[in-house]
Amino acid sequence: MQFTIVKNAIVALLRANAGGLFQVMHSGPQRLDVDLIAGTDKRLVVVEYEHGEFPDTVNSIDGGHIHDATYRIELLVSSAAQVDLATLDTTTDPAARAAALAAAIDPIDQADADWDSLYSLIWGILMAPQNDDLGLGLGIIANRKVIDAQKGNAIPEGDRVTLGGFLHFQVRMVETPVGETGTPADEQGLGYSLDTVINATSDVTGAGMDSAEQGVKAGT
Amino acid sequence: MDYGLRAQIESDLADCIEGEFGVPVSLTDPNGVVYDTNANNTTLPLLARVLYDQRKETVNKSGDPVIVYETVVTLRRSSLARVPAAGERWKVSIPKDSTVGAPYSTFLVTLGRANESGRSIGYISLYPSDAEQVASS
Repeated sequence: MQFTIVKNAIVALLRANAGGLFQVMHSGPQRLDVDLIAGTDKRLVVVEYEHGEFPDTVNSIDGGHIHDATYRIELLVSSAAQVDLATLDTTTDPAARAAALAAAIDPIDQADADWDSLYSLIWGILMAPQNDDLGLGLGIIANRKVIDAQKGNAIPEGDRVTLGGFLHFQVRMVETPVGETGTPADEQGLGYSLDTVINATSDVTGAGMDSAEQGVKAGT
Repeated sequence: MDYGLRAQIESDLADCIEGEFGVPVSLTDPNGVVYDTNANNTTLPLLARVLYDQRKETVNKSGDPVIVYETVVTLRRSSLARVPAAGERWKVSIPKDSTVGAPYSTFLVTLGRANESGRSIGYISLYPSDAEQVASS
C-alpha cells in the first residue's frame, strides 16, 4: 500500500532537512536511554502510522480507494541546565560566580524551548511549499496537513528534564489492490473469489461422516 | 547537652552520611561563596552521600519507557555553614559517576526541583541537574 511508501518519504524528508538539529527514527525504541536524546542535536523525531480513514463517498467499487492516512510524529527532547561553566568553574571571584548562577537557565525552561523549536522545525519542513509532494513527485499524494499537535508535561525527575509531545500529520493518497502474495486471484471477474478447501472427516459427535450421504466432498 | 533520641539520630548521620559512604563535595551558594569543609570541624572536608539512581518514566504517547538517571546528594544539615533554601540556585560539584577516581562535574540545584529535607533528624537531599555550557549569544 502507498501509506508505507509515504511514511518512508516522510522519514527521508525529515532526515534530509535535519541539519544536525534532530534525529529521525521509523519507530520508537521500547526502552529509550535518555542519554541518546540528550542535547539539542539529538532531539528525537519518531514517525509512526497511527490510523487511516477510507471515506465512502470518494471510493470506487473497482478502482482506487482514497486513504486519509494519519501519522503520529513524536517529538522527544531531554535538556540540562544551561550555565556559563567557563566562568563558574574557573573564576576565583565570588561575584562572577554569583552572576553566572543568576544567569543560568533551568532545565525545565530549556526543555520547553527545545521542544518548541523542534516543533517549529518539523512543522516548517512538512508544510513548506516545496515539500508538498513529500519528495515523491506528482501523482502519489493529493494533500497533506498537520491536523493537530499536543505538547506533553515535562518529566522533571532525573538529571535532565525530558519532554515529549506529538503532532498528527494527515496525507491523502490512493490505494489500489495489487494482488499481493496471499491474495487469491479474481478468477470470475466478480471482484472476489473463494478458494478454501473443506476437509471434514467427523461430525460434532465425533462419529465418522459419510461424506457422500452428507454431501461433503473430501478435500485433497 | 541534648541527650534525646533525635540528638542521637542526628549524631549518627556522621556515620550513615559522612562515614564510609561519604564523598567529598563542594557547594556554591547564590552569592558565589564556596563551601567545601565541614561546618562542625572545618579541618575536615564536606562529605555527602551521593546516589546515582535510575528511573523509568513514560514520556511519549506510545507509553514506551524512557530510562532517566537521577543523582541524589544527601548532606548532614549541621555540617553545612549555609543550608540551601527553596528557590535558591546552587552549584554542586560531585563525581560524575560512582567509579573510583571519577572526575568531578558541575551540577546545579535549580528552581524547578525542590530539595527534600528531613528536618526532624537533620539531613537534606538535593536533586541536582546536569549543567551544560550555555550557548554564546
